[in-house]
Amino acid sequence: MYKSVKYFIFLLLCNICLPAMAHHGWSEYDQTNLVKLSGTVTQSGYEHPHGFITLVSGERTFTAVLAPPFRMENRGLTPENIAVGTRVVVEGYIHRSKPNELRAERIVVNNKVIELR
Amino acid sequence: MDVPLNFLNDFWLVQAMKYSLWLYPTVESLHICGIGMLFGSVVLMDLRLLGVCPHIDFSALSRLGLTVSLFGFALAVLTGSMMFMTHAADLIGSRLFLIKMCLIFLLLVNATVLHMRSEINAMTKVQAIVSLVGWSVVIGLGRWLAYV
Repeated sequence: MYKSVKYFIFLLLCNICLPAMAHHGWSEYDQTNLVKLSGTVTQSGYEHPHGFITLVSGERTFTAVLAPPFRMENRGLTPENIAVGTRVVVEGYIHRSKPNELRAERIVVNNKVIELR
Repeated sequence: MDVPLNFLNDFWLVQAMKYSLWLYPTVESLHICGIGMLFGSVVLMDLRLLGVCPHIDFSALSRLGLTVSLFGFALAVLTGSMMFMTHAADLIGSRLFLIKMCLIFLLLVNATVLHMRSEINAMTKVQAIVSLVGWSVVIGLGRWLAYV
């Protein structure tokens, strides 16, 4: 009995530790360096689990990961705001192993700043 | 790994998963319901095998437990497949995802062998521990997938 309770506690700990070891959804991005990109949207998705846009900024094309659709909607970022051809500014962090991917902390469209975290 | 799984993108279900506001979170919740039923009944059966509450009749417990866990497993597989299709190109190249699938397969083999045994002995106890640890790790890996 005592033994199995011990194992059970161990299992609970396994469950708690595994996600904790993986930190957080933002940990794959270099949060020590806030990057600001401005450009034109060339592709966008108002989709689960996270919306995204690709934007051409200077010579480079970036994919910016936005927020879940519910959050975007609640904060006032509409699908039209990120439609193809729109000029946007995104601030966020570059992915540690994918230099063309950025997780957006906020987006500026039509002089409206929308926090995405 | 470059696998041409993009054709899945045009599938109506994948489109619905991405663009319907409610479907994705509903499927995620049902996935958790399935995991709850599976893991909950597995824990009860395994603890009984490890000697907890020996007065409970194991064959009666396992009849109920097996039914609930199979239903939960089926629900988790169904909803899990829907989530997989939505991210197929990313997940198929993910080592974490492959480890999770292999582990589930091994645990199914473990459970099948366990239920074919006719008596509780040292080996069934080892298998019960494998099952408890294994399914816990599967849950952990699944959660982890959302973060990498």
